[in-house]
Amino acid sequence: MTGQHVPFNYLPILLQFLVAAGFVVVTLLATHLLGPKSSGKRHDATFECGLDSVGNARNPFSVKYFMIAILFVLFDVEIIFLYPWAVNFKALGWFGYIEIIIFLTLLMCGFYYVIRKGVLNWESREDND
Amino acid sequence: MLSIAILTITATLVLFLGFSKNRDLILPFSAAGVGVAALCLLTNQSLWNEWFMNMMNISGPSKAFSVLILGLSLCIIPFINEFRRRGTEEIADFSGLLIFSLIGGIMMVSYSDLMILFLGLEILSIAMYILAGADRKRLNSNEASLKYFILGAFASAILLFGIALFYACTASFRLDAEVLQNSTLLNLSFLIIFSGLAFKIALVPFHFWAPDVYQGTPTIFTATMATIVKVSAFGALFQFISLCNHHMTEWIYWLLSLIALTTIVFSNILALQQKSVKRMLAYSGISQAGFILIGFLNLSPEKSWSILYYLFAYSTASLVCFLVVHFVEEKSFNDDHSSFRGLYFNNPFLAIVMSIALISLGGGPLTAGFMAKLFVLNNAAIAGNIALVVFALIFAVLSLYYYFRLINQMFSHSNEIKSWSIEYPYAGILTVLSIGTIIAGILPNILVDLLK
Amino acid sequence: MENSTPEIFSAIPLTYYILLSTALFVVGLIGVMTRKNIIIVFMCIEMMLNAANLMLTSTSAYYGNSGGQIMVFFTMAVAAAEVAVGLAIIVMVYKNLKTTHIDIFNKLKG
Repeated sequence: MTGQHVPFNYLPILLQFLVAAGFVVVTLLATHLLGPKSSGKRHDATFECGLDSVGNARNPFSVKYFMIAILFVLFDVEIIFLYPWAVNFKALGWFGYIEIIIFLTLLMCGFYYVIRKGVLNWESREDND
Repeated sequence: MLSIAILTITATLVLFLGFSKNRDLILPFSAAGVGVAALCLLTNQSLWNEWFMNMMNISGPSKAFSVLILGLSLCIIPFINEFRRRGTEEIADFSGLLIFSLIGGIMMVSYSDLMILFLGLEILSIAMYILAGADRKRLNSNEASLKYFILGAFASAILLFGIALFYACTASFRLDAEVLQNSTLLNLSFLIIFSGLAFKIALVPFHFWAPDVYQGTPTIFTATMATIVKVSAFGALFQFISLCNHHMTEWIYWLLSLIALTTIVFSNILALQQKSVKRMLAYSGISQAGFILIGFLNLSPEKSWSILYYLFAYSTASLVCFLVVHFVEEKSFNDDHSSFRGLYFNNPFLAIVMSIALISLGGGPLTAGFMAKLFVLNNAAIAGNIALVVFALIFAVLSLYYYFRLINQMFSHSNEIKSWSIEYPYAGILTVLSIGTIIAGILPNILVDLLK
Repeated sequence: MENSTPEIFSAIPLTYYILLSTALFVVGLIGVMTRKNIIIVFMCIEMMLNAANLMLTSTSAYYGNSGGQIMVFFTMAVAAAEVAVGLAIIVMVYKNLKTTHIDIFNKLKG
């Protein structure tokens, strides 16, 4: 094996790249050209779920959104430990099953702790972190 | 294995105990869990002989390290109750996190596979990041927590890169693996892993975070950092050097002795200038780490007890110092030298206990610190590092100056005499630690035989 | 895992991967030391971790040894935990100070 066929190996990646970039460009252009156009003061205002837009977009918002995001990151990543087990489900047998139950139990303990701490409680007082 | 399982269950239950109304149960329960785990270690209760496919192995020195860590934590746990006096009711979380960090500590001192080292280090550090910020409303504590976090994560990343390089050279995380790639790359990986651990221990090129973090952290958790974290990191270094010193080239040892030397020189000079007692103790801890590192230079299984002895002497004395600082800080709201003035007349017990601990840290005779320095320097002298020993001795004498300056402050008269006392359980723990320091100093053979 | 070196390594030698991950690591390292915003410092630390991950996966593929990939799993989980704690600390600081600039922290000095 020499380095001569390297460019050929990368052709699919290049194609993928072109398709991805092309999709974005085409969609943007198409919506811009084909879509109906209307404008006005109310129409151009920032859309905020029926509320009038007030103030700066960089206002600090409630820390609760933040807690949800952090917790999502945590629990999301823990799931990667399930993939190897799922792939080798048959080979690992009962041993793997018990291990994964222990893992999930500990994870659920954490989840229960989070609930009891009131992090997921949207109506609680503001300074709850 | 059993002790780690016990600690995990205890920590989880402690977290949930925090939701109950009765918070008096939390600390006794935590202490009981840690005590049972320590007993399991001591009596060789192992459920499975092969720990995680032999990735961990508690025997000999690592057992001694683990027991030391658990013993120190048993002395710290009761003091968490002090937070309630300040109106922080989350002692269950603190205590639970402390127990989680112990699990990390045990993993760090008994690994034979670098994967476990990394996991242990992270379990220990992540818990400590949070504990450093335990005083949420105090800006100093926030700052300490943030600094500790940034530099700790930085150190972990460096350590992980070292481990990755090690893996690239050996295709294995086991420390006794055979080398596949060239050994320069391997030695580079050792160097990077050392730097990562040196951050945690706070050796001189990587020490700059320690004084700031020690000062800002609530003092009880500073005590934890100065003792448990340091013992764990030294245990990890010990395990690392003793398991793969056959791969290491000569220059790694040269570098280690250079680090030890600069650590001792710089930390002692910087300690002289500190006004805050916590910062002074931080620099003193750095210099003690330099002395302990001297013990690593000619490491052999028979000599491992001298390092353990030093760690015992250092951690008991340092624990007493920080706990006394905690009480003084509670009274005078800062930790300057001046707030220690006349401590002997206000609270003779604390002053005497602190003096014993400071003398031990300085290496005064009849204390554990003296014998510890003697053992370590003696080993180095036998191995032929005379220059290093001479420098270490000079700076050990210099260090006496700042220890005695503080003792002098405590015993000199101050304008206001307001006697106050501390509760009996706390006094009991401080007494036990001080008596341990003195007994280990007068009759070192008892401890040395135990460690052997 | 079969015990043979995958074909790709004949086109791109292992050294290149090691060099690439080292370069990434150094970029992260310099970033941590020079940047002032905590969030960016934090991103640089993540970059260092990912440099290590890259080296682990590439060498793992090279040797046909799954250990490195398992390590990457653990690293990712640990990094997520670190992110969670780190961001929580940053939020705590932000609530007290209303800034994420690192220079503000000069209170603790000797």
